[in-house]
Amino acid sequence: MSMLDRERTIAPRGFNRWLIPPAALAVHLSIGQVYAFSVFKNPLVERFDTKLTPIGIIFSIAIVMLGLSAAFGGTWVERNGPRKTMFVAALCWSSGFFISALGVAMDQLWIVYLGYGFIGGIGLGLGYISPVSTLIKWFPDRPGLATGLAIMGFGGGALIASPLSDALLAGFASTPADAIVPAFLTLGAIYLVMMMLGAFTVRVPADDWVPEGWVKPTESSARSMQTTADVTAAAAIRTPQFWFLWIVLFTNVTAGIGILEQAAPMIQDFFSDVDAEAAAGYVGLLSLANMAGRFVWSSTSDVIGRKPIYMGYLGIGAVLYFLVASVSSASIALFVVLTAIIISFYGGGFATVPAYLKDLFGGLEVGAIHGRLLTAWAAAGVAGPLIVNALADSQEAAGKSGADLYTLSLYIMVGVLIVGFIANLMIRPVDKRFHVRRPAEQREPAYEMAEETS
Amino acid sequence: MSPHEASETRLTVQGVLLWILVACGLLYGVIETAVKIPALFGA
Repeated sequence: MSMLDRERTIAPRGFNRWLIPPAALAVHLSIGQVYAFSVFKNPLVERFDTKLTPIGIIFSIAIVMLGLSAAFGGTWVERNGPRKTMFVAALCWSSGFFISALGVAMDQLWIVYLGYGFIGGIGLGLGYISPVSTLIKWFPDRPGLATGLAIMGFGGGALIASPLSDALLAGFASTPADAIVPAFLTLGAIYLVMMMLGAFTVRVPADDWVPEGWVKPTESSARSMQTTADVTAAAAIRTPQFWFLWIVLFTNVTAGIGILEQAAPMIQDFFSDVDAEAAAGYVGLLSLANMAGRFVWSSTSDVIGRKPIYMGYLGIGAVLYFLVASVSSASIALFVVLTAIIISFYGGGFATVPAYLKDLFGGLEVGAIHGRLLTAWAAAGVAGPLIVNALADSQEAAGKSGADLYTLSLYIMVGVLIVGFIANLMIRPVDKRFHVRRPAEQREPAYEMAEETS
Repeated sequence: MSPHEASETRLTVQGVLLWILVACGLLYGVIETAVKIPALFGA
């Protein structure tokens, strides 16, 4: 049996479950670097003597591979356990940097596409979903808090990688373009060590383990939206609940990413006296709101329930978007506060969704179901910026300027969030015909037949 | 100390070390980001 096998990672009795979140965080903080990729954009443009578009393709390939590997690798992740998955994710993610360093050294952009984009992207997808079901099994009493902690790391990863990459690019050579190779090698090495530490720390609980003092909810004691049964990933995607939740995630991410992607130019268009330095401060503030929202709102969902908190993300979010569009140009403080809350809801939506899936489909294959649901993220990653950028361009062509460039797209986002709000309202407990039948349930008819024939 | 106890101790130390590493990393990221915010309000 390999030391990476799931059976070799079962925790001994008395194991402290609070040693699991840092293992998950180590992985998510590492792969969260992807959101700081923009730091390398200009140095790569200079190094390859090309334009922004071919360099932007590196990031796009990585995000597409994230979605695909999460969607198609989920079942493999469930079967092989967190350690093997984190191990493979660590190899893919760090190899992405090493291969890209080779590509930069050889002046071959396609090698960077292959390295950071394709191979690194697989590491992103596997790394993102690898700790989710493990955390849910360790924290059945607080799944929102547990997954919020890990997924907060994905938001925090960019906060660390951005200044770190700046420092590496400034420190290794006289120009950033000449420092890309050693910077990639250094980041690859750091992430390899961090993710391997996570992989070799992670443990799964024994099948019969429950937290001390916690009683597994029965059908009568569970909240109305919490199932006590399990649904397989294959069955889950045949339920309307999965697709309503897909719409919920898609709309929440579309709305948030529309602001995130355009944050710096948007605040400068709204307020002409905001310079580049102040805009960078605004982007930083949104990053902190994004990270904090993942932990705070997801933990809150353990108390108030998953469906009500998404009512807030989507319903209050729609009201906030309306206010941004209609009154926020009057005050920079009002604009900053409103958009920061919106972005905290964006982060909260990501972090709460694994716990929502667990409530609806049980913990059996929640990692695989989560992987399939993340296709909504990939779709929203295209739709959100497309709506905001295309509408801003068309408004500019129509002779508008300043805040007016964004008014129409902000009102469209209000509509998008209302669609998500309605989809969330439609979510009901999953029909029993989709539940996995337990051995005891399967035996029941046989018992009945035996009694009838005796 | 039995091999089992030694293994458990090693695992705990590893987990605590990882907590310290991720906390320091997050703190570094938050501080580096937070120092940019005052510029937004003209400070």
